[in-house]
Amino acid sequence: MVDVARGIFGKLLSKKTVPEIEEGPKIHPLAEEGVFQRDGHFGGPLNPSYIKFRGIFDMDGLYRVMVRWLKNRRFEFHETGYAYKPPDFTTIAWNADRKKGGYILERITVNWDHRGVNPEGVEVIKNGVKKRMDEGRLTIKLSGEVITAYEDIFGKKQWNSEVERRLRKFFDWYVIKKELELTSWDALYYEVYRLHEIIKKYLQFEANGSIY
Amino acid sequence: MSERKLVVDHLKLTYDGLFNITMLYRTIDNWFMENGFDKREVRNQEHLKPDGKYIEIELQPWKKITDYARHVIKVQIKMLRIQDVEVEQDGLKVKVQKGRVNIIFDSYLDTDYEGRWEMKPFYFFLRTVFDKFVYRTYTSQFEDLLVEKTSNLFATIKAFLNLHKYEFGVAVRASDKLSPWKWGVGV
Repeated sequence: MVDVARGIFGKLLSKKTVPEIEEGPKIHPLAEEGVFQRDGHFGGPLNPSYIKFRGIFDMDGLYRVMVRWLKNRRFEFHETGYAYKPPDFTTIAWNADRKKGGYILERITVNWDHRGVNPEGVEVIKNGVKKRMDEGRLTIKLSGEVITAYEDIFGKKQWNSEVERRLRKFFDWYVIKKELELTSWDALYYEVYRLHEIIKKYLQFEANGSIY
Repeated sequence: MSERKLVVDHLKLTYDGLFNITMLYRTIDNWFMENGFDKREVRNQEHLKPDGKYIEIELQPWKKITDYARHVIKVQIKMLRIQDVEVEQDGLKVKVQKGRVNIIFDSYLDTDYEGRWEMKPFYFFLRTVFDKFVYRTYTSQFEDLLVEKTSNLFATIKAFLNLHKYEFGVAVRASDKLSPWKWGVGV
C-alpha cells in the first residue's frame, strides 16, 4: 500500500513507494445513449458482456455446450458468420431468436474471437485420457435485445409506415412498457447471465458462481 | 445521451496475501443483490501466465432510484500473480489463492437515463434548468445515498479481506476532494 503524505512535513518524512501498476489517466465511461428513440428495439440492446481467456481450452466442447443450452431454451439458433484463418484468427457470430407471440422477439447475440490459433492443437492428458485442446486468446461477447413488431418470414418489416411507427412507439413506451420491461427485457437480461455463468464454469474461471 | 455525474472518484483498496477469489466475487455479488442493484458484468478476463494467473473483472451494476435517476457503481478488480495454495484452517485443508488485489470504486449518478428529455433542444434546455434549480435538493440526496452505499460496499470488502485494522478509506464525494481537510485522510 502506498504511504499517504500527511501534514506539513508529511511529504518529506513519508517513504515514497513506487506503485506496482503504473497508473494511467483516470478514465470514466460516458453515460449510455438514451433508448427512447430506438425504433422497434425496446429498451435498447442488453448491456454487452465480455469474457476473455488466455490459455488452453476445449473450443469444440464449449461450442457444443452453448448451442445445446440455447436450443434447450427454445431459441432458434443461427450462425450468421464464421471466419477461420489459422494461425491468425477465428471469428464466429451467432444470433439466437425466440418468439414470444406474434409481436415480441427475444434475441441473444454471441460473438467469438479466437486469436493465436494453432491448427494442430495441444495434446493434454485429462483424467488419464489424452485429449486435443486449443490454445490462444478467446474473447466472447454476449448481448441481446427485445424486438417488437419483428420482421415476417419474408423479411418484411411490420408496422413500418409513418403513422404505424408512431403508434407502435406510443404502444411500446406508454401502454405495455411495464410488461415489456419485466417479462421480456429483464427476463432475457438475466437469462444471458446464466449463459455467461455456463461459459465461465466450463472455462474453469475462479470468479464464478453468480448469486443472481 | 443521459447526464452522468461523477460522485465517488477512484476509491482504491489494495490487498496482498491469502484470500478466496470465488468467495470474494460472491461477496460482492451478494452485496449488490441485497442492496437492490441490477447485475452488470462488463468484463471478466483470466490470463494464464508463468508467474501465476492474471484476473481482471469489471462490474458496473445499476439501481433505478426513480424513473429519472439511477445509481451506478463501477468496480474494477485486478488480481496479479495469483497462485493456488493449500492452508490448514481448523484442522481442515482449505484451498485458497495467494496474490495481489487492486480494487477501484467509482460511482455515478445518471439522470434522464432513458433519454426522454434530449430529443429536442427545448426539452434539453428544460431538463438543464430543472436539474440545476428545481430538482437540486433531491439530486443532492441521491448523491449522499450513493456515497453511503459505496462506503458500505468498501467496508464489506475490507472486512472480507480482513483489513479492518486499517481505518482509512472512506468514500469521499468527488466534489469534496478539493478540500481534503474537511474529510480527513482518504486512501
